[in-house]
Amino acid sequence: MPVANWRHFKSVSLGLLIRVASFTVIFALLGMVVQMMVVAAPIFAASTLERIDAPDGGRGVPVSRAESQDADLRQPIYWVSKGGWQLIGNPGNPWLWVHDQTAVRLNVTELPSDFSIAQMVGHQRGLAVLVGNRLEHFHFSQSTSINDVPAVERVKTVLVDSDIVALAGHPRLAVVALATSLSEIQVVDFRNPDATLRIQVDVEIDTIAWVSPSLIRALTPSGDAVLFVFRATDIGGDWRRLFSPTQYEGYPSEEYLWLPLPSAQAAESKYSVTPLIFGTLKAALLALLFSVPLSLGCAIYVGCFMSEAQRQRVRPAIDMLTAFPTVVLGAIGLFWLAPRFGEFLSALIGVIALFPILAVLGIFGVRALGWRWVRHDALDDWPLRLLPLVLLVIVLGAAAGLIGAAQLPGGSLEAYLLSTGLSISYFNSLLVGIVLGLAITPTIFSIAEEAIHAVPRNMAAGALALGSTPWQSYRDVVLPLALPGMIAAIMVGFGRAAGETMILVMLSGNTGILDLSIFEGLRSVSASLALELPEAPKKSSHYQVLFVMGVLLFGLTFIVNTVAEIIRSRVRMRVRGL
Amino acid sequence: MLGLSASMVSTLLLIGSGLFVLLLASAGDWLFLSSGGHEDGVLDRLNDVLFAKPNVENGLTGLFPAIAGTFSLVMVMTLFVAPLGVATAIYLSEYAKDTWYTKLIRISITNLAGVPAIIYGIFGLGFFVYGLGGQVDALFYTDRLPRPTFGTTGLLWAALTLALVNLPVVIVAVTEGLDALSNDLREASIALGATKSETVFKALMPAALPSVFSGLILATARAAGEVSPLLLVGAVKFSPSLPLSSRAPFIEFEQKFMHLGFQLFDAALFARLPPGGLGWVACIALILVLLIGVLNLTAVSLRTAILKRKTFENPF
Repeated sequence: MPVANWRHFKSVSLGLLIRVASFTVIFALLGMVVQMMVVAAPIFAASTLERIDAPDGGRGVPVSRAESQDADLRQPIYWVSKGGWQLIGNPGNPWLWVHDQTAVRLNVTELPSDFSIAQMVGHQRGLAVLVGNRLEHFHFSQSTSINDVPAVERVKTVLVDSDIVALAGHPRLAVVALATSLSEIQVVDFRNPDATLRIQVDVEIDTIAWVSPSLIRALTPSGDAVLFVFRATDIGGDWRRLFSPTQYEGYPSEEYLWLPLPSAQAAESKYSVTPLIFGTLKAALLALLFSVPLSLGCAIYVGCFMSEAQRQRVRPAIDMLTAFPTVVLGAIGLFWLAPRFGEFLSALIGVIALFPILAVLGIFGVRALGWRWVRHDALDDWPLRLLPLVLLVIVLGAAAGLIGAAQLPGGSLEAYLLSTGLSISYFNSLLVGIVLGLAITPTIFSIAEEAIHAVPRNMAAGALALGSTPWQSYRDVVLPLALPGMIAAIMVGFGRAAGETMILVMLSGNTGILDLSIFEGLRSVSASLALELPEAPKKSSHYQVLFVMGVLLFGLTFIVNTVAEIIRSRVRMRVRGL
Repeated sequence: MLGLSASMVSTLLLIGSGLFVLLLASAGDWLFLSSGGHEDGVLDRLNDVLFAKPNVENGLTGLFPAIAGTFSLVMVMTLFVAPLGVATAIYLSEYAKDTWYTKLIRISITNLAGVPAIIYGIFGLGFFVYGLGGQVDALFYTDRLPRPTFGTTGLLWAALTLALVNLPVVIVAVTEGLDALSNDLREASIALGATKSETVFKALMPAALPSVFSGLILATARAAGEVSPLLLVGAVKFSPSLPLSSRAPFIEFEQKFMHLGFQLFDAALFARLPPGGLGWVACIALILVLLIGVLNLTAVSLRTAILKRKTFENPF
């Protein structure tokens, strides 16, 4: 189509500009998801082992701790604990704990005496022992005095299929490099025993050692070196370690642990996402517990019983709660609620206990003010008329709660709970739930109110005309139609709560524990992202695991929102037909 | 039950105003009543709190850089969000054909509005700071390497990240505004011989303007209160200079900046509060709440104005 004139040219070029801008935005928003997945993906990569050529045959590579240990093979002492216990082992003889000062000797029955090779592996307290074709991984507890003998426990057993001539433990991970009599180099990962890496070489190998955490040096009998590069993520190519309980070195049982930066420099990082996801869900559900009654109660009243004019005034007033950004709510929780949480909780219990009485008092109070409560349009001013009454009940309830708490054995709620065995942490899930609930209330209110308001007024009016009370008209006519929309509202609120960051960072205590108690702290996915990502080195396993969590959080909120949106659009269609 | 749900409304209103009064009282008490207020006079005290040199040690003076940082962040963000968001909304509702993938994109954008800001934050860190920033440094600032210029957190990346957070909000608001316009307007404009772009910019946009502004102002309000992405892409506890300069383009895009919300977070977690710290915290929170409250009120009143105008007549 030829450009007819200037106006036409302008129209075409503006259209082009709009297309370019919008495509940029759409690609940026959708590309965001792809980019996060691309960053996260390498964490799932399998470990690799490959041979490399060193210019001088590897002689220039400095000798490491692991290789100097190689000489220890002749000497029987494997490990010395802080308490002075020495682990002594000779092939064919029982293992011994010998104390270096008192020369007390104890048999180590847990360790097999018929072993052929043994080597320290992983951080300082792991031992790999080869017995026949079984490669066993043991772990010692660190003993700090003569009185406690280090405990030995078997972590894992792996079967090897050929004749092993040399063995070297990885300086940091529970990984062992093996050389077989058939000139094969194997790397066994105790974290993921199914994925043994093998590489065949053309020369005979009789010594093997780790030069660095990623470099293996194998030596031929004549002293020539062959170098291998070993690459592994911190989860050893096994994605289940992110989600299922895992046996870590030094822990008696399988556990969920989130310790990306363990205190001991050499200890392995522990990336179990489960406690964080649990914390997120716990906080979000607690928030819903507080928010749903409040927001749905408001939504029902504003959406169903108020006149349009009054609704236009009240809705923005409640929406104004969003003017409290979550960081301000977090600060209020931190500085004003947390220091006196016991009092706050007792007052809250008092208020909640007294609140249902309001239902009765409210009706009689407003009736006493001369309102005919069956008249539908007379319900408009109720919230304002009830304001002093509600204030009174809150004050009374809080006072009753505080006085009641003082009467408890111990003099306060915390002391009483402590005497029953429950201690309240300074940062606890309940506090998070209350403040988070307040933060998501306007969201739930707004969507639920829209859903209720979308039900045509004449439906409720018909019920009223037939003699039902306003509440009956709501319960039997409006509620069944608005219920899916209200559920969608709750879902959106849940998504908000799951992704909320500032309140959780400031109030949750950020303790990554798997504990159902509402008096314990928690650590959420979002808070972990906010706190750890700036410190995580780019392209490290930690960084990648954090991106995995980001993708998970994105998926959770996106799916919840999508389902809610589908419900809402269906309800819209249904209501439109009425 | 009716009484109960009515009293819920009153309760919520009471909680909202209660929180506000709490902040107001603590801030007011600290500013005007507690020690120092009487000797220096109210104006000196305000001057100290706002304009004195920011005190890193106990941080009880010099709020102005944080306010300025918040403003410049929101301003730069709006520079990105306004044209891009409006253009995308116009494309989706006026230009794009109504096919299944257009629908998919519209639904996705609606749902992206509910995705937590921290997700955008990690994208901003991974893509803008480490990715784009590193590239920009490698191309244009080779002389300053290895000290990063754009390859680190800063105003530009924070603004871009916040722009991404708020784009879906703006797009949804403007699309809704455009969809609400009656088709007569479009048809009449085309019938009079207007081109497509004239229809959009001279007939539809003026009618949809209130919803555009309401969407933009809501986005700004949200941006001013959103702190979680800033933890990853930009704000710092103390910056010696404002991200503003006297030379064009007047804003130093690579500069790190102070932010009201971040100050609050920092005071909450890392600073050991000196005596009077509570009042200081209340002060920051109050300014932030007032800022966002004013923005929200503007948006709300605009929205009410739209709702009142049931029919959208052509203003020309």
